[in-house]
Amino acid sequence: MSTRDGAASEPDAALVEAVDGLRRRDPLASAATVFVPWQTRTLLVAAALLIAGLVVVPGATVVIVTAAVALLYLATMVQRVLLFVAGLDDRTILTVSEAEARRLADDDLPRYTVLVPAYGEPEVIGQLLEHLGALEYPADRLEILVLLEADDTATVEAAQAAGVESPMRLILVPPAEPRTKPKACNYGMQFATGEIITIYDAEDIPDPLQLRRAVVLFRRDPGLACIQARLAFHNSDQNLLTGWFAAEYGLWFRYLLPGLASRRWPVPLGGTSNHLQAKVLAEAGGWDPYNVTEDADLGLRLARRGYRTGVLESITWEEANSDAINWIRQRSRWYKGYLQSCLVALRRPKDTLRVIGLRGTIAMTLLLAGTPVAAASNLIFWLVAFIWLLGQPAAIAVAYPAPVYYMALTSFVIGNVLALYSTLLGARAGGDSNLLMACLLTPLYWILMAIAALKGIWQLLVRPSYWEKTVHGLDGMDGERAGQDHDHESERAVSPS
Amino acid sequence: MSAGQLLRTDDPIRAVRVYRMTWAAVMAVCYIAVGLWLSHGKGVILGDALSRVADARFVLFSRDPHLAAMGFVFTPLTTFVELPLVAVMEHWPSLLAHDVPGIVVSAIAMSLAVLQIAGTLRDRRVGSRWIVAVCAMVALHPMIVFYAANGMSEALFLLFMAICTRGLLRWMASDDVHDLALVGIGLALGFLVRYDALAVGIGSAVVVAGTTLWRTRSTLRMRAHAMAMDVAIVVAPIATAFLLWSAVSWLTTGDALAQFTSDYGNTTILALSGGSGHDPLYRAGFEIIEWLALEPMIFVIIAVAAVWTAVRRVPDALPALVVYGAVLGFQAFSYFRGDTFGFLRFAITAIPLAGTLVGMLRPRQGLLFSRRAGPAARLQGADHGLSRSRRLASWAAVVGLLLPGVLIAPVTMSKPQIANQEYAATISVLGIPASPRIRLAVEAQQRTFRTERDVARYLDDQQLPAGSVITDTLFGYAVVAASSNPRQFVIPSDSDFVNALNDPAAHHVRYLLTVPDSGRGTTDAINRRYPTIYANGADAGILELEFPNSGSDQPAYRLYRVRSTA
Repeated sequence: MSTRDGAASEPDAALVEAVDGLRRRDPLASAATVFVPWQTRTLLVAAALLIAGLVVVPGATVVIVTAAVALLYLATMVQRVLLFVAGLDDRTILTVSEAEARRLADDDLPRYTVLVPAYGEPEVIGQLLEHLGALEYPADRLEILVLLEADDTATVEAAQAAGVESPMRLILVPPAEPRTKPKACNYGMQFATGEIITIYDAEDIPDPLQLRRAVVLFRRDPGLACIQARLAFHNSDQNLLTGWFAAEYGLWFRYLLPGLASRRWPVPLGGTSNHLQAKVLAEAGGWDPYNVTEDADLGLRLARRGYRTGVLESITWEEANSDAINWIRQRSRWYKGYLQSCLVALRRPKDTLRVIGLRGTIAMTLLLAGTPVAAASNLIFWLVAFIWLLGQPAAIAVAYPAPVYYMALTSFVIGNVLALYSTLLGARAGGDSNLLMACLLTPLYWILMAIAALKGIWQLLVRPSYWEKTVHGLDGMDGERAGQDHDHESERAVSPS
Repeated sequence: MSAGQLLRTDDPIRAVRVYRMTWAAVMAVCYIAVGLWLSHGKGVILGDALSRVADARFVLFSRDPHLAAMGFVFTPLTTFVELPLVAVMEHWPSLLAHDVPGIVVSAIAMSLAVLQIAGTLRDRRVGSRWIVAVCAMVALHPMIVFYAANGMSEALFLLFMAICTRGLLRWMASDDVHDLALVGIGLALGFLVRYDALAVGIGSAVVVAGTTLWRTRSTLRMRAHAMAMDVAIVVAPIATAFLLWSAVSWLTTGDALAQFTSDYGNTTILALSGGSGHDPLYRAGFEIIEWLALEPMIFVIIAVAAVWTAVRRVPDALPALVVYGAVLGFQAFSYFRGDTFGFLRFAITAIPLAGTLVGMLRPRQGLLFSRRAGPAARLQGADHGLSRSRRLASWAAVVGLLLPGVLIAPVTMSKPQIANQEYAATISVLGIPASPRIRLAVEAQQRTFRTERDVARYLDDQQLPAGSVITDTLFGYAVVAASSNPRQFVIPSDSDFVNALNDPAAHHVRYLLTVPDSGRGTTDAINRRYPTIYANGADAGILELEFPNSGSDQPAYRLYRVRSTA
């Protein structure tokens, strides 16, 4: 068991690098500032035009706004269908057989670093040893860095009590703002010695052969810079919410991500199980500590630098949120992060277009920015549709001249029907036939998403780098914790400079 | 490789894309040529086809253009597909009057349907020359040619049924959810063409449920889940289509099942035309004769398929039987109960059924290509090629089982008792000798809609302003379709129709186009409002012109000038 508390200057330098490294080297790639000047100017001008329009020509302005939103919905619908179709071919998901994974000789394997950031999770840290201990990789070539915040005494003590031994190492991150997972990972990177890096969450249960499979893939295709393994939920049967979440993940990781990867479009990475080549990560600048979905952001940044990502058929089991309030916290953070990532990715539009291409940029924008914006405006438009159904008031008719009306109607009816149907198909293709009821009730899930999107957009404007911690361990797998209250929503003010 | 470029996959099916598209184009062009010759040259135009073109015109170019003008009595997809063609041909009303948009749509649909049947056989990797022969027996069948060339909705319906059959057959081998989704979507679109697809949906759901339950290897609970999921995937699209269509119909007209209950719907037409006639036993026998008239060997084919399935224990014949059989069975059952007419075209699915079943006689060769095969997939076909005798037998089957249909159909289709709607076209095109009475009837049919074109021309020549002529579309659709000034008409889909009918003078209506108040004419809106208007003007109008109708089954129109109240 070892802890890190070397000379005073070393951790400070590492910490400074972790927090400010990206921001200093490449300020435009950091979400420390949410809006760059030209973006702020554009937004203000657009807002001013909107207000002026509403005052001077309200009828025309309303029509234009409605038409623009209807177009956005239609585009999103078309894009999801195209992505789904592109991901249909199961050769877009990369597979490595068990035999092939085991065939690699131990001496042939590169050094692997696994980062496990944890904060305020004393109860799951014990399981960590069990789950990661099952990884089939020679101990002398593996290092597992468990990254804990130095002032998180509960977790640190639980970890030390559980017994941390090689290849695992505890790294205590000195307390500093922003208190985010990417900052911890950046800090841990300073001590990593592996050629390949990956991240797991404390409660993840990865496929034991995952590391070997990743190595095989990197060798098979040297052009690959990053490999994303499939995330799935082991508690999909717990309740309706976990069913929805599991179906959504199934669709995402089996169809949408492979579709993106196959077209060489930017792939927003998942929170864990992304296997990166260390030199690529270093060149790209590490994770952005100011971004609350650092995984999506890294995926976009890799694409902007011309790197390729692949999707691996190897499951990491996670725990789906089973509590609605907790889920909304998590999802609003994701939506906030997506918007952050998109704003950052579009700061140098010409460069982005040049590297990713027009269609890739559109796909990225629609998927990342379009999803939360559409989710939020859903509530407004569902209300409008409901009122229209009841009485067809003239005020609404004004905003919907025939072309706009039919566009909106198409995306409302056909778009939603297709979305629901693709959820069904995704679940069935993955063998999750038990999710039938969850899939059919997906429209209720969309309501939850809409609430989360509103919260996320609000937070983007008010508290951009605030990381709302998700409570884990609610799946009832660990019986000891009944009755304990785990509210980790303490105020952690962040002042991005 | 640059961003955006899709992974190149060596998909063998892509290689034949140009080949297939060429075949489809050739077939479509031939069908269109036949259709143009029939409608322009021989004057054979079917009312249902023309009314769909008229509906499309109402949507786009009437006084009150709106999508709901399509009407809710018949399912909308055929009309919807014709919309762009009608928009393009608007300036040549004689094209519309001769049903050209309909002809184009049905020609393309039928050639794609034949392509799908070919695809079903090609999925099984059997010899391509034999596939061409089997498909030729379908594509060249006189009934198929006629319905490819006349703008009726049968062609679109056969296309979607062919897609369902193909998807079902593929799924039974590949367990790929996307093949199942294809079946579901094919069913939904088929429903939007004709509601018979509901019966096919039920049949498909049963087959899918049985197959999944039988071949999933798991606990009973998981098998039940899998079955429920697969049935949901097949049934959800058509259920959604049905609910949405009924909801829209109800919202717009107040009548959810307008196809059945409305005054323009099946039940009313049936009653006013004197019912199906005859007793149930006669009807059952008649139905069998209709099947035999199109495919004389159909029962032999079904028997051979049944024996083949039992011997080789391969369910390849099941999808075609279920899909096409459900349509045939449903129609037979409805006719038996007296709920529908005994039209020969309702038995048209016997032709692709025969073709597909004969196509199953050659065993599957090679590997079925699937993009995402499921766990219960059995993609492997026979490894060895066909023996000489088997090959000869399969060619004999094409000649002996399918060719009779192609050869006999011209004879059976020329008999008015069997082919009420087809005999005129058959006799006039093929020059088959017939008795004088029948020849007169054929000539009357060839003159059908000529009078309506004359009425339209008369009204057009008067250069009337918009909203001058009020007419119901029960018979008047043909006049509106042929007119070069469709906005001069006030039709039921206009929002002010009822008010204008109530007080024509105040709404600047100048003419009322009326039909006799007998038979189907009793449901005509003008006759409903002014029951004696046809006979004597009912104090609302003064007789201006009468148009005795030279066609068959069409009324003599009377044009009444609106009597102003002053």
